[in-house]
Formats: sequence, C-alpha cells, structure tokens
Amino acid sequence: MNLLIYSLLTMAVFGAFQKLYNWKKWPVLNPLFWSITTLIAFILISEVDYEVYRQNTQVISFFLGPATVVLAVPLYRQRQLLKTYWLPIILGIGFSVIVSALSITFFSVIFNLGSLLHLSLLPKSLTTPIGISLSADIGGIPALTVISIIITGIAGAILSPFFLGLAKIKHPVAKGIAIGASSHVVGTTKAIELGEVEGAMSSLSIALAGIMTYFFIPPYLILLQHFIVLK
Amino acid sequence: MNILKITLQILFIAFFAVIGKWLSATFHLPLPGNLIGMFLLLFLLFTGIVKEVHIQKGANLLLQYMALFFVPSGVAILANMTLIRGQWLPWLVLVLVTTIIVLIATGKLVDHLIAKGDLNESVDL
Repeated sequence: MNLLIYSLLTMAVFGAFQKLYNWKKWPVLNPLFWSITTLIAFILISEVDYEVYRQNTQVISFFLGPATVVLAVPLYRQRQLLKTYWLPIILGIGFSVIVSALSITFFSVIFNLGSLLHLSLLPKSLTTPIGISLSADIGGIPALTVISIIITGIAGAILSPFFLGLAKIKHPVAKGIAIGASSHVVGTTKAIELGEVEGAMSSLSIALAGIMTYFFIPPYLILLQHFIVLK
Repeated sequence: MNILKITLQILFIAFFAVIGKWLSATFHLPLPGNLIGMFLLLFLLFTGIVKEVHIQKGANLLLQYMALFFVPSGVAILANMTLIRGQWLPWLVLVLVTTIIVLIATGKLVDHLIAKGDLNESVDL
C-alpha cells in the first residue's frame, strides 16, 4: 500500500511542477528542484520516516538504469554529427575532465574543506552510478558524492542556458558537450529540451566524461600528493 | 495496444541495464552496469540487430520523464545533510562555481575547435 502512496505522490508532485514549468518555460521553475524541495518539506512536516519514503520509491529509482541505457538512442540518431566532429568532441570532453578536477581541488584548498570533502566532490560531474563507485574507490563518502552530483545536475539544468549565452557558445554540438560534461544526466534533460543535437551530444558527454574521469582521477590524486598536502 | 507496446519496449531497454550490471559484476569491470548496457544497446543499433523503431516509443517516454527518476535520490539529501554540517556554504559555492567553470571552458573549447575545423574545410574547397 505504502509502495503505491509514496510513488504516486512523487509522480504527482513531479507531474504538477512539470506542468507549471511547461507553462512558462522559466529555468527557475526547474521541476526536479521543486519536486525535491517539496517532498523534503512534506517529509519533514508530516514526520514521515525518510527510510520509509526511500524504500517505497525504489520503483521510481529503478528507472535510473534504463534511463541511462536509453541515452544510446539519441546518440545513435546523431551518428552523422559524431563522425564529423569526433575530434573536437573528444578533446572537449578530455579538457572538461581536467578542468573539473583542477577547479574542485583549487576551491577545496582555498575554502579549506579538507581531504574527505575534496575526494567526495571530485566525481560530482559524473552520472550517479559512476560517481558513487569512483567516490568509494578513492576514499570519499559516496552519500556526499550523490548530494554533490544532484546539486551539480540541477545547477546545470537551471544555469546552463544563461551561461552558454553569456559565453557566446553557439554551436549546438559545443552546447551539448558542455552541458553533459558539466552536469551529467540531469543537465541533459535541459539539453534534450534545447534540441535533438544538444541532447545527443550531452548524452555522449556523460558516457565519455565518466570513463575518462574514472581513469584520470587515481593518477591525478597521486600527482597531487607531491604538490599539495590536503588535510 | 499502444500501452502494451511501450511497456514491452521499456522492459526491453531495462533488460540492458540488468545485463550490464551482471557483466560489470561478473568481470569486475571498472564501469557501472548502466553504461555498459548503454554501449551494448548502441552496438546493437549500429549493427542493425536492434532497429530504432523497435524501441522508439519506449525510449521517447523514458527520455521525456528522465528527471522524474532522480527525485527520490534528490530527496536523499535530507538523510545525508549532516555530513556537510558547518561547511555547507563553501560546499555549495564550490559546486555551483566549478559547474559553471567546466560548462564554459568545455563549451568554449569545442565551439572554437569546430569553428576552426569548418574554416579549414572551406579553405580546402
């Protein structure tokens, strides 16, 4: 019974915010952000045990798997673009992996966040399943990584159209790669909205950035120890 | 009939996630099962073993409601907020700022490389 109530509630809340968003298409009305906020408020106010909510919404979380698999479809649809632009795409995603690691390390040091938070933040631009396993591998806290990943994704979904415009990034391939590399699947929901090309490139970006980060971070951390000692 | 078709297509796509997870666990692959499943489906699409029309309706539905599937993971923030405690503000600033830095740096580079490439191509002509 509970299984149905919490899943239906989640779907109803999301559906309502999606409707609201579709009406004006304002980025601040991001349905994911408002659904999460509303449900957290609901759980806190109604004093429902979070664990009960989590267990009874596993039906919805189950679809995270198929939702990752299905990204193969837009990718396949855009195979012609992939052939044309493979070099800028590979270089761009490789660059994103390095910039992400360096910027996270830089701010972790100047904010004095400590080693544990630093390690938990490094996988933050990856999609949840990859991010969790990388975080565990390098000694971060996976739960903290998940929070960072979700906030990164929502930030990307809300802010990317504005900042892509500000930086005068024009080509749809560049937009898609930038969104996927910075804010994974959640950002990709925005990229899909911008256009089929943006969506496909963003999907590709998630997969490639995931693989590259997975192989880049361990040697990066070894190298880092020689230069900076993080507490 | 349509509902049955879409359900079957989604189950078929979900099947790849399951196979991917199994492959990842069995062979201790450094990639999560979902991604392996994605590459598997991509491979079958490219080889023509699976045709796009076979999964189109289910795929479109999954793509359309993608964000919904992240809602429960997002609500998990509630249970883990204590992990950040006193450092939530610098943490949040870091997350926002680095996301924007990566977005702009990546977009700029790709945009530049494509513009340069297109230019060279037209010179060749």
